[in-house]
Amino acid sequence: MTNPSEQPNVTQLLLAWNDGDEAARDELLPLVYQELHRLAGRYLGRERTGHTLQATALVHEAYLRMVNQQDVNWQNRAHFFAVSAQMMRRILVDHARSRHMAKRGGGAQQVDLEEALVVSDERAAEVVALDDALKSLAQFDERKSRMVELRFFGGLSIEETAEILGVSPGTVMRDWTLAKAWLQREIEKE
Amino acid sequence: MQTDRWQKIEALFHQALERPQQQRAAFLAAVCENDLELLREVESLLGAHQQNGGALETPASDLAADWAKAKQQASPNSVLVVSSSRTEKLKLNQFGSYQVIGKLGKGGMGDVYLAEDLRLRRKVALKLLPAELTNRKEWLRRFELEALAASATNHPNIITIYEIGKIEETHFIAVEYVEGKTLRQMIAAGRLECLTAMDIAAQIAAALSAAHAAGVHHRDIKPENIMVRPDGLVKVLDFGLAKQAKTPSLLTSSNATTAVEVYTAPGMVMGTPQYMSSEQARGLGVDYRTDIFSLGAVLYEMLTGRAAFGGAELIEILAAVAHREPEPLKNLAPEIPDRLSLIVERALKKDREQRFQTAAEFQMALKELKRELEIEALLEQRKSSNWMKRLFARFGKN
Repeated sequence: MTNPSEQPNVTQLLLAWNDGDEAARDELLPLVYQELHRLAGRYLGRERTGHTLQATALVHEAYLRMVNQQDVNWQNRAHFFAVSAQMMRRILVDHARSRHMAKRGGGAQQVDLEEALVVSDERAAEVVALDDALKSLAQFDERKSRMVELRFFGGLSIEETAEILGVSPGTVMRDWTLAKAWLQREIEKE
Repeated sequence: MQTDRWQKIEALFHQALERPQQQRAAFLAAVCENDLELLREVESLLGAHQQNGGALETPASDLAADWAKAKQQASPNSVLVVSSSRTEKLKLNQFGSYQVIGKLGKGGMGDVYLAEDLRLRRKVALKLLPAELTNRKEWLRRFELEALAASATNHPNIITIYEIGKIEETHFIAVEYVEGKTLRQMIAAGRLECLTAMDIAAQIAAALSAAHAAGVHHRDIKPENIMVRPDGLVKVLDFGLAKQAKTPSLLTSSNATTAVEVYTAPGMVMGTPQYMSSEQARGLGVDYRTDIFSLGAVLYEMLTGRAAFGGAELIEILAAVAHREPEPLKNLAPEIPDRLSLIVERALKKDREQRFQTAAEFQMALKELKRELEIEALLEQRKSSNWMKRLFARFGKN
């Protein structure tokens, strides 16, 4: 999958999806998921000191690897990012959930040095809570829920998000402010 | 949730945000009228909005980075992990030249730890700015201003700032560690004796007088922010909301955690409603005389054991502060001399022109009355002891 030319179908699927072929999207999802998972695993799995994982970088890397840029327009690109954000959400939430569960089942208390891991475990719990809250938000305000997905899980900028959602950056900022407050409150209710 | 309801909430949320902090409560109270649920909803969202760095402040990307980093941190050299403010866990260890001993409590802008300064061998209270707030310029600035505001005044009744700095990525303030009780704890144990209350209030007034002279308004005078040492010396803490007269409106923002402590629903109030001056409650501009009002409210509470302005709902308290007179002191504590009631009433005047005009004036009034009362008590004692002598003399004769 390292060479875009070996993976021409992603580009084609994007184009087909853009032409209204919803089935193309369904085909696209697992491919993007796999690639992101592979890339994420490369970062998360190894103890590569000095390296940090950036969702944005990850998504962009996947994009560059999977899509033949000459054949697509910005809308295809936007679609790709939207799908990637959704997949990133799944990857991260799954990861957080498994971590969270392992912690709960894992009986023995952590001691000393291991407590350094506390931060990330708490963040893991947060991600799980956020994912749940986001589902509730989607029930009455789909756009904000998607926006959070793009911004938070996809690591996309305000401008990129605006482009994908087809709204102005100002609207994204406003929505983001309220969505954050709402989600924050939901998470804290737990 | 109903879509139209949500849209209404959304609109009000943004409209409130467009207004200066101090006017939001009044604005919401006005537009929500009798719809308390709507008010509470918007308010709690504003509260959440103001809350420091939540889960969403860092994109998931960096969160994944955390996981990677956590592995790196699990080395013997890892000294300190300050996690999210909500979950507050600190690996107690050495922090720079400070040895962290334990946790003292939670301040408006982060946790406070008891530590020992290993260089000077003295105890300090170490305030750490939560890591996630460090990235937010406003909070960092507020944190620094807090130190600045307190250090602008060198006064025995104001907590001394020892050091402000940054170790690794954590910003901190080291302040004088005061052993003693907060005024809140003292009031919780029962109302204070007249003379004690007056003495404490006079010391707070002295601190305010010094702060005001340095151009600093405290703006959040309340029992929680006053420490009383076992020897009776009072220390005013927490200049987190303080505002330097010159500084623009940055510091007008609220102390969300303070509000949360007072209400079950997170509020969006600046200062603490019970001790807010009437002008503060009405969202008007404040000057140093706001502190005089707040001190009046604190004195009232010391004397009676209950808040001068109460209410179950935020609006009720704000309305009481803005428009209602507190229950006369006499009704709650009949032994209080009228002259003291007059002092408290004067400090609590809605019109700040009618209050004591300076903290020094307030302090003087308290000191003078205290001396008068002490002399009177002394005379009373003499009188009674003379009477006893006569009585004994008479018995002696028989």
